[in-house]
Formats: sequence, C-alpha cells, structure tokens
Amino acid sequence: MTTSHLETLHIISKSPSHQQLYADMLSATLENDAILLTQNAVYTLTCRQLDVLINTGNPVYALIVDVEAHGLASLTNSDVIQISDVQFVELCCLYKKTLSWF
Amino acid sequence: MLFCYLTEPLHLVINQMKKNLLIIFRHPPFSSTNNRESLDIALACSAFDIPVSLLFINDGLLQLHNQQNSQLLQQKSLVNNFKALAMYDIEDYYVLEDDLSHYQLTEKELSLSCKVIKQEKMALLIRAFDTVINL
Repeated sequence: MTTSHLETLHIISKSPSHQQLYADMLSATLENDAILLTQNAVYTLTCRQLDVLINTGNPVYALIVDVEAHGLASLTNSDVIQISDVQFVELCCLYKKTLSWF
Repeated sequence: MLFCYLTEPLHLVINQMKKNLLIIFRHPPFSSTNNRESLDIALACSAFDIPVSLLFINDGLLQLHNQQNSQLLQQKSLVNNFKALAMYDIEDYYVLEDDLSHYQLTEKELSLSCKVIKQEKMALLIRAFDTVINL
C-alpha cells in the first residue's frame, strides 16, 4: 500500500448538532484526506450528516469503542469503516498530519 | 564515529524545527481560554524558531475586532498580545473573506494586518502546513 498520498486525518469528537464545526471541517477537507468520528461524533451515524461526510468521497472512519459505548453497534453502514484503538494509531501514522475538531 | 553519532540526531532536530505550524483560532473573545492558549503556543513555538502562521475563522475573527473594550468586563484583552506578535516574527495572519462579510467587518477594523483569503482556499492553506493546531 502506498501511503505517500495520504494527507490529513480530520478527527472530530463533537456530536452532529455542532453544525458549524462540521461545516468548518468540511471546508478544510480536500481529496486524499479522511475523517474519523470519535466520542460524541459517532452520533453522526444516526443522522443525515453522515451522507454529507461520505459524499466528500473521502474515507469515513469511526472508533469502534465509541460506537459500541454509545449503543450504536446496530447502525452498521458499509460506507463507514469501524476501527480499533490500535488501527486509530496506525491511521495517525499513515497520514501526513492529523487535525482535531473539538 | 562520535561525530556521526552526534550529528545525526541534530539533523533530525533541525528538520523538526523547520516544520511550519498553522494555528487556527475559532472562538470569540471573552468566551474561553482557547484563544489565549493558542497564542501561548504561537509564542512558545516562535521562540524555538518554528515558523508560525495564524488563521482566524468564524468567531475567531471577532478576536481581532479593534473596537473591543475589555476593561468594561474587568478582563484582559488579547488584542495587545496579538499586536505584539510581529516582534516575535509571527507576521502571517489569515482571515476569510466570507467571515468578514458575515460579521460586516472590513480589514481596517481588524487589529492586525491580515491576508484575506477565499473560503475555498482554506483547505489548500491548511494542506500547505506540516502541523496544524486547532484548539
């Protein structure tokens, strides 16, 4: 797997009701970026905001421990890649930089 | 051998220092300590010769409004701290055109001389930096 083209990993941790935060993140997103949902951001799995993230064409990841902790394990979506804590660390290493939105 | 042993890490350190840093301000004045902490990071990094640029988006733009009077709130204003940044070689400040019009502000009403960029250029600006801090 070539990793040189992976640019920014956007890590968002607030619930989808923080619309401005999501708008800011989206306007900071370019191709070859990725979005990772952590903490309350996993509630995005429950609402239409998710489509907006997926439609960026970038991979959307969700931290599996947060998905399960928030009781959302039944909301499986083939467009969202669920990752473990270890994979979270790997992702951070694969991307050139991380950018947190909280 | 000893020379090699010493120079190798030094190169790494210097490379680290050459990395540039963008700090994003998103919060209005008087609301939280985020802006002050971001400013502290900017000064600390600049002291270590790391090139620092600042980006003000959304409510962060209001931090630069030059008509603030923090004394009325018995608070310290960050405006003077921002004005002093040039002395620390921090001279690249970016604001968004859309935010200026959203808050009916002009460049003249900002306490720093900022570069005004279009919203769609923000992502490219962020990409151009090695590290981005977004408190």
